Amino acid sequence: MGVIRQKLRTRNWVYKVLPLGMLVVVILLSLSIGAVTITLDRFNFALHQLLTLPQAEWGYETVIIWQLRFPRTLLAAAVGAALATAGAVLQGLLHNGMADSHVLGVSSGASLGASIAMLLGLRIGFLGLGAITPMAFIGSIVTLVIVISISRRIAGKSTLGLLLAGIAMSSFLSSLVSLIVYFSGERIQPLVFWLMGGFSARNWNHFLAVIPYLAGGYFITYIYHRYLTAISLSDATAHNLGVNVEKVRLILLCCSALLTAASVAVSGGIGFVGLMIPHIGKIFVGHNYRLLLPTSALFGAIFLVVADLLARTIIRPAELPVGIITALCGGPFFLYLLAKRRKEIL
Amino acid sequence: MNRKLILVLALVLIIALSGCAQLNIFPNQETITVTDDMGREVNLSTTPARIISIAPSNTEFLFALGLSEKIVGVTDFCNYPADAAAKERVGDFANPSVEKIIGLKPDLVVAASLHQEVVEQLDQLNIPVIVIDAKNIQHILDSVDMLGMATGANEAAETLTKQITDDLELVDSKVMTLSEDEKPLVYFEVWNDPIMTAGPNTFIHELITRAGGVNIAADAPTDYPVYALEDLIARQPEVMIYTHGAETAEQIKDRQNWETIHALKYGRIYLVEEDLVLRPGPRIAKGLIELSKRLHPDIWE
Repeated sequence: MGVIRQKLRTRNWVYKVLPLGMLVVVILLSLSIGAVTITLDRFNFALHQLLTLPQAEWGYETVIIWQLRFPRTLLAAAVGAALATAGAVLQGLLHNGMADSHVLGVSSGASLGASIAMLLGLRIGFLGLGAITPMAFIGSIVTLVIVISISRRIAGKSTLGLLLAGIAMSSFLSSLVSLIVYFSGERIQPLVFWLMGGFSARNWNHFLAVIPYLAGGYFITYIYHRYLTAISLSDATAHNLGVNVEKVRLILLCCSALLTAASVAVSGGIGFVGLMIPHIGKIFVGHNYRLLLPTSALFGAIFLVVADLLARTIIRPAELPVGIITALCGGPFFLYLLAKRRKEIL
Repeated sequence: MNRKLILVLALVLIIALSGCAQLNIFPNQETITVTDDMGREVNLSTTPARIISIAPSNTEFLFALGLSEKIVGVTDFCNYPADAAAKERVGDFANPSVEKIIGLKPDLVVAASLHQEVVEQLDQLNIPVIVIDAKNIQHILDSVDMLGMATGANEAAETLTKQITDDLELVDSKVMTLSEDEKPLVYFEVWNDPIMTAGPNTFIHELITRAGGVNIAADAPTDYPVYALEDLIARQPEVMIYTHGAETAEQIKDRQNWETIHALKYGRIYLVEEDLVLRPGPRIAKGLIELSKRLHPDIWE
């Protein structure tokens, strides 16, 4: 017994520290690669300018590091972590390995909000973000409220009812987005790019605006990891263990919707992270959410930082939408895993 | 007996008539064949009298060739010259209405390459269509030629070609006096969100180069790449040209994180009329002059 415990503890330690180290490495890589390669010397120089000069007197390299790459990289990490966490939570709550933020209609709600903002040519700024981010956020929250109340009224407490209501809502909202795309003519350009997802030209304002929601959503979720593990086994198990399944499910649903809403609002439609990363997490740490939540978050962050690095370097000086990269790399990789490690995933 | 006679007479008549047709008793104008920009060979048997243009640049060409009397239809996007406003509309540039086109009974339709489907439909209805899709300045001159031939406006085409060529030569002669060092690095903003510029195989690239500038995106992989802000900042363009009008020069100056860019720092941001430089029509040399004046105000004094 003691030996097994000892082994488990080592395993936990490895699985916590190793991804964290990898995340630091990919973040450093992302900071140093791009239009200008930032070496240690230059980094020191930029740090010096950051600390001693007002922004108006910075050299362009300093601007590139502190104002472009830093917020962008951190945003990619935060969004990757949030999407993966939301995916892991939803898969557990709904007892369905195919669940991710799309099944609740939250992503489509965000898309609709963003497209309305663009269609109306809304110029109202909010915290220096422009109209798109807040509108996307509002769109997803409104959608979540509608989906939950509809599913309660129609299907009561069944998770299948929630899934179906979410999917129906999702395709309804997507068709509204298509309708807007169809009628938006010239203004369509930014919308098309937004729908493909990406971190192009994101700055500190975007990061600071969403990080409270992402951090809050993640920590509340983590507090409930025990209940989540229980519910993911089965609702009956959780109930027998004394978990108020209804209440916990509602809280966790709201958390994952919050994580998704804030992510989608700043990064557009980035697919595949929420679906794929939790399964990869399960291969390494199993189904215990105490480990699965942080592992998924770290893997998600690593994956999206790398994807963003590729998106902005592959066809330099042009940029690809990161959503294309995530699906392009993620799809085949996931199919490979599915074929090789079927047992752990399914 | 009678019946046989009628039959014989009818036969004789038929043969005689068909012979007349061969003898060209109804004299046709000689048939003109032009090869258009889709590689289609188009036979035009008469000088067109009812012409429809379904692209703004084509409308400009037709008016510049003095064919305004013959134009019976244009698109909603045809905003130049002002007389185009008085013409019948056949829909917008991207989606012209085939029914409306047919209703106007044209004997020539001038389309663009994005009209593939419309062209196919009109072909089946035996309505002559030529497609013009100029990819560079020389190509514009060729288009003028082709259009002149197709519409019987050869002389007007020659005059127009001469005008355009003169303007081009004026620019060339001025730019020739510049050394390579005097040619500024130019960022041409096609769109502001996301920031998009023009790659090496575009009209804009040719215009920038010919106007005496160096295109910042000369190494870009696509025609209209979404450009990385990092690269924009790192390359320090000296002049920024934009056409979208989504922002004023003052607003652009205030863009966050753009302040280190040379062009913004020294206030060299210019709005150029979109239709002059983005529309591959007869005013392209005017657009070139306009652009060159922004890049090199000194040589244009």
